[in-house]
Amino acid sequence: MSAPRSRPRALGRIALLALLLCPAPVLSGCATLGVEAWDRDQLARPEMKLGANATEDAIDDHIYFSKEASSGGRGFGGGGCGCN
Amino acid sequence: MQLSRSSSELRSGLAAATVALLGAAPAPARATEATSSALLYTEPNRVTAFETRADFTRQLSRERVLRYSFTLDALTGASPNGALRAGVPQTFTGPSGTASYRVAPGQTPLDDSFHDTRYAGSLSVDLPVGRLTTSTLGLNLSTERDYFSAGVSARLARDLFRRNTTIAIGVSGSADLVRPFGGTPDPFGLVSATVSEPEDVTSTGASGGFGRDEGEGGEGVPQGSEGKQVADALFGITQVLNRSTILQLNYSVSRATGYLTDPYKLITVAAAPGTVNAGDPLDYRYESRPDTRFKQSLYAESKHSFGRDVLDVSYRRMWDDWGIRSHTFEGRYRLEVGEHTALEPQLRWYTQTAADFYRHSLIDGEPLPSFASADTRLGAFDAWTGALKYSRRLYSGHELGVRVGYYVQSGDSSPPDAFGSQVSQDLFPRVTAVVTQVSYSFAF
Repeated sequence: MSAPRSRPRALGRIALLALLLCPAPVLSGCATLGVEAWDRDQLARPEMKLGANATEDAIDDHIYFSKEASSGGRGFGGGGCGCN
Repeated sequence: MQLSRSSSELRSGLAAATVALLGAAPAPARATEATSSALLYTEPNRVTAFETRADFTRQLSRERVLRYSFTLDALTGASPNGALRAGVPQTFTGPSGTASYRVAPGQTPLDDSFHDTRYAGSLSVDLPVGRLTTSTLGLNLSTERDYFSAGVSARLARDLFRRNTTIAIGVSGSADLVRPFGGTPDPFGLVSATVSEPEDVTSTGASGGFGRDEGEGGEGVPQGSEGKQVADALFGITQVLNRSTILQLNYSVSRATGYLTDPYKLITVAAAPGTVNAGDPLDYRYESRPDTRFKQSLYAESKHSFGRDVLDVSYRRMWDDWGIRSHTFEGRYRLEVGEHTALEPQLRWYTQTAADFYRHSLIDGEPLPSFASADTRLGAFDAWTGALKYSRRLYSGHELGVRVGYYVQSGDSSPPDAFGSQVSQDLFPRVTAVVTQVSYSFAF
């Protein structure tokens, strides 16, 4: 029983450690990416925004929350319903 | 005439541009954008849900944004009660303790006594904290006859590197109240204890009491209450990769404590292997889940623009201390066809492993485990969703959207630990659903 459960825990610790220790190199890498303000024509389009379809996302999250054992990720975990 | 009209259009265009540059035009930023949606979710011969919701976004100033939404959900139909299909007829009592329903041999036991309406609302506001930092504060409320949830959230996002990078941290908490119809069942309480022979209940398992706490209410009235608390934290980074690609990475944790059991789900107690009627149901018990759950997830999403078309792909890895691990892949391609119309095929694949305490049935005469649930949502399965969305831009920024999707979920119908008469039954019936959504967006 403990073997299959220890793997995700270890994965979780690694992910957490990576997130805690790596901001500096990750962010310095980020500094070299990106575009200037005048090159944002494509990115400025409404459909290119992350979360552009908030209503659709909320509806999907509600459906999947009630049918599956996973939720959240994109934002906070959803829920707030009995969903039997 | 042609030339004259063109010149006129040019003049008016230049005039509009000049006015806009001077800031004399009415600020469109003050407008409220609204999206209203109606959704019909149908599982053949099972549950039907109708949901309407309205989402509003009001730009209070350049950096202050108010969002609020209202949702109304109506649910009717039948939901699997957790018991297995069997080769013999089965009779169950509904959560109210009085109405009973009979299930034919070979049929999935479905409880059709659930009819509920949910009202939900949310409110959030973006407030600037300095030039490059934005805070978002939110509030959520949701109520239905047997469930109430109240939640708050706070998020802080900071732009870096010429606003090409955004780092965000957020926390949220919710307090829920479960008020099961017919009272809260005891963990592993025998269903027969609430039906015909309460005096016959003996200490054959962890619980020797009645199947449900006795309450004051009558049929169809929620009784008693159980608490559930959820705390979430999220760390995210959003990065502009190039002129047409943006990437988001999130790591989130969630801890739930309190009453995490589904008060309506049963688990079959089957006759032991080697007996005459091995595998047949002898009785049913209420399920029992741990009272804590710790989940973690990694989420990545990227959008890429191909000229006018947009590709949106995402992946989520989720794992928890119940032993559930899942992968979710999702892709959407917004294809612009014509000047005002877009088609968007959507595809999603999901797979999860079972919770450590998931089992399709208990075996008569064996000691009860610490926890057990036969809710297939905690079992191992794969799920596909395919959908197509049609959207059409109308006049003055109005947009109509119609989406039709098909969801199918399938698990192991013949698990290796099935025995006796269970071997000839489908122990994980497929779930299918058709989702139809119509939405209309406009500004005022």
